[in-house]
Amino acid sequence: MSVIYVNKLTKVYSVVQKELGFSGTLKSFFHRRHKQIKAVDEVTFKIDEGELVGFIGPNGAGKTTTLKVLSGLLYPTSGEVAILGYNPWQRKPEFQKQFAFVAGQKNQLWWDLPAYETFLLNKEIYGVSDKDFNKRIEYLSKMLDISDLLKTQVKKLSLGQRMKAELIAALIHQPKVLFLDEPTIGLDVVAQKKMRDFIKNYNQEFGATIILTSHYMGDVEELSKRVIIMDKGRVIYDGQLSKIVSKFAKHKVVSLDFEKETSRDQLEKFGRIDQYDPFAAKIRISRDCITDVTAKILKELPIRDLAIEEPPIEEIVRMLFTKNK
Amino acid sequence: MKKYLAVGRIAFANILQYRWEYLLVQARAILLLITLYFLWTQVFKTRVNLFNFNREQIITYVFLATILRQFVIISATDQIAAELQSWGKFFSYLLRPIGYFRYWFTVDLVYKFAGLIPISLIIFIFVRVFNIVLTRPAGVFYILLFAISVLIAILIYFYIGILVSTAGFWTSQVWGLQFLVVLILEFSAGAYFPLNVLPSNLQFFIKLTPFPYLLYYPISIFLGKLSYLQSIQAILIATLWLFTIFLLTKFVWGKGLKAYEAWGG
Amino acid sequence: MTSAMQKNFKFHFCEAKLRKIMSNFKFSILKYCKVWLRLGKMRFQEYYIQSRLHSLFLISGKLVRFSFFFIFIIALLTKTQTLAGFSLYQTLLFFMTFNLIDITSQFFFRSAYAIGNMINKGEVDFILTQPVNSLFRIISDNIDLLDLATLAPVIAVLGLVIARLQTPITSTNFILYILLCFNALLIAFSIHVAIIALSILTQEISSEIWIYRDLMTMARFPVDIYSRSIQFALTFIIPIAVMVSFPAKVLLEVLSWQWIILAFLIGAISFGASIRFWHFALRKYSSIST
Repeated sequence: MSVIYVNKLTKVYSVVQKELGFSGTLKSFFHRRHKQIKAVDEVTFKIDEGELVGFIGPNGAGKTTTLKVLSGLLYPTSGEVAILGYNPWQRKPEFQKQFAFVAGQKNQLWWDLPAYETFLLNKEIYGVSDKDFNKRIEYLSKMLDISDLLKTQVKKLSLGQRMKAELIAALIHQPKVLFLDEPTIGLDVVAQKKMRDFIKNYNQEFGATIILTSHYMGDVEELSKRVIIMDKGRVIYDGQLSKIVSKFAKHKVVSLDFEKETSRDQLEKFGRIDQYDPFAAKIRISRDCITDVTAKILKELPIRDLAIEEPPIEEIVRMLFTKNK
Repeated sequence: MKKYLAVGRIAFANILQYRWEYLLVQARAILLLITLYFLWTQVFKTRVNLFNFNREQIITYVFLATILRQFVIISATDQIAAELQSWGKFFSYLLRPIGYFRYWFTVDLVYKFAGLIPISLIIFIFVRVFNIVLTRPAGVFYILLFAISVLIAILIYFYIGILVSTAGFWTSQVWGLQFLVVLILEFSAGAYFPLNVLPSNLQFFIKLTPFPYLLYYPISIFLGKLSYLQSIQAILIATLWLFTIFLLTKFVWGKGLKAYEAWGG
Repeated sequence: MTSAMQKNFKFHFCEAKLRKIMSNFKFSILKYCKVWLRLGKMRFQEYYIQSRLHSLFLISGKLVRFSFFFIFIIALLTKTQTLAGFSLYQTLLFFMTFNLIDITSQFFFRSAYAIGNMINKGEVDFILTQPVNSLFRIISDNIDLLDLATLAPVIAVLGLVIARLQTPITSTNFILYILLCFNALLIAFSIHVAIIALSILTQEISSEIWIYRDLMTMARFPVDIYSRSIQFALTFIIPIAVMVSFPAKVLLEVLSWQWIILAFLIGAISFGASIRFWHFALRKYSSIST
């Protein structure tokens, strides 16, 4: 049985139409017009135990709304949702004790106090035993390398350190299901890498089922094999990340290093130029004729080095969204 | 002059924006008024004179205290402390070609007048509907003296307000101090009851402070409790207090500004 | 199975189930006490770190206000002997009961003042995902242990005033006094819950809490001083009189048993209504679909 089961989840909001102008205000006083907005439209997917799934989509795609329903914050308009067999919006403690939500932009740690104090609060709320509590704090803080910062006031920590502490606060009760909303936002490259390593490690070590949303494709690429893409309230792709490229990208990107100066027009006939420099360039070549074209390039141009790459995933995803318009 | 009008206009727009909170403040004052009105009415059911007041006079005192409180003690100056917390905002004001104190006084006047109108209206309606008898002022000259004493009272509170706000140069949480000071001030000014009620030694000490000159003395002048001479004497002492507080405020403000600049925000 | 055996089995089964419910209940109470204490401790550390001077000012302010009104009542009643038929110590009883209820309810339910902020910062959403009763967690969010510093002298003075009362205090009346004080807390709880629920419903900061505070201060003096219509409003619309004047009157044995029953009824009804309202607001917040 899947850990996260979502079937035809739909969420419709009723928004009051605001009329403009004075006569509009008067009109709306007597007769309110409602507009139905389908934030989530028949979304269906299943996630099994231990999976680490990336959840991506532009703002307003319905990601946040879906996650809110899965967290038990919102009631769905229709459809079924079961997490570990529970309906999240019933907010049963047995469910909540196995679940955690970490939002990159919102903190649960109390600002003026050491993170450790908030850990203790969660310990009481989730009913974690003293033994388990100490064991987990020790393990997690060592893994995240902030053992000596637990007794420092949260406001004195850097953003990266704070995010790590937030993670620990969320993992004290060792949840089986974990939602990470933009966990690496605002972090520098080093901190991002550390965060990703930790998440991957945690997923493997404890077999937690993780849904990760992020605007950084790097997060998604490195952490999740499977990705669910949402746009305009619908799931437009659910599957292997690697397959997106081959499914949606019609071209490949060829990087060229030249031995001597090459002009633009010499290149243009082979494909669309992405980057140009007299000594290096990148051009797009459609998939079906990649072998022929690269062979021709090697023959006709002074090539020192050539590499064939997939287009960056971000570009593909962006293209998917614009296509969906 | 034009720039002050502009400031006034913005202050008024701000009040309109937060009119609900503003009305709430008025509502709270009315509730206090109701409590005190009924309290004194009850007390004077069985007697004619108490603490040198008769029934009409004490009721008038209560009504006047409510109006004057809105006028004298409600001040825009408590926002200064909050503004000091935002270094950039504060300095942008200092750079403008308008005196900081004068700017706030303009805002203060707008606030006061905006508050005066609804409260006076409500009280006027109350008095008419419930046929409440009020004491008339003892004469035209007394009205003049009353007006002067109120003007001085406004200025005194204005500078006290700034003085308390200067704590914002040194700490970030000033409203605790404001809370304590305003409370002591209100009681000592006779906002809840005329000072005559208190035991005489306590009265003596309170009358050594500037606070009674905010409400108690002006109202006493209005009610004719003080003779011409006593009224003028009260006004002179009030003016003396005004100068003292003005100098003190300027001094502390200067000190605070230096400390603030040294911080760099 | 014989019928006797069936009965026996049923009995043991029910007993076991009841035991389980009791132990769960006890366990919950223990857990909620722990969470409450933890929150109180954390808030105290926060205040202590932020500004001790600030807390000192607040406590001083409250004590100043208390002392001034206390002196006022003494000064007034020394001259007038009675207020609405009550002697000095009787009037002080009303005043002290007011302070007791006011401070205690603020101590327990202070978070109603900060609920707007909580909603803005998204803390309410976060609380909803945690395995703790969300109303409890919200209400306990802002515990100021320093309130106890103002409560201690109030209780001491209250004790002194009761000791000096000339009317004899029977133990029944005293117990009823305590019970009506708890009833008052129940009503205070209901009012604060209603304010919190309103904030969640409208997603706006509710400044109405201040109107409640000021209405509360009307009970500084015995409500008998007010006109009939105001007394009615303070009994049945916003039951301030029930909260403050009734306990004092019960102690002075001037409250008939009908009113006592009514007081508890009002307490129970406000509690029920406010909890209902809370659930309604929470459902709307989670936008239940029809």
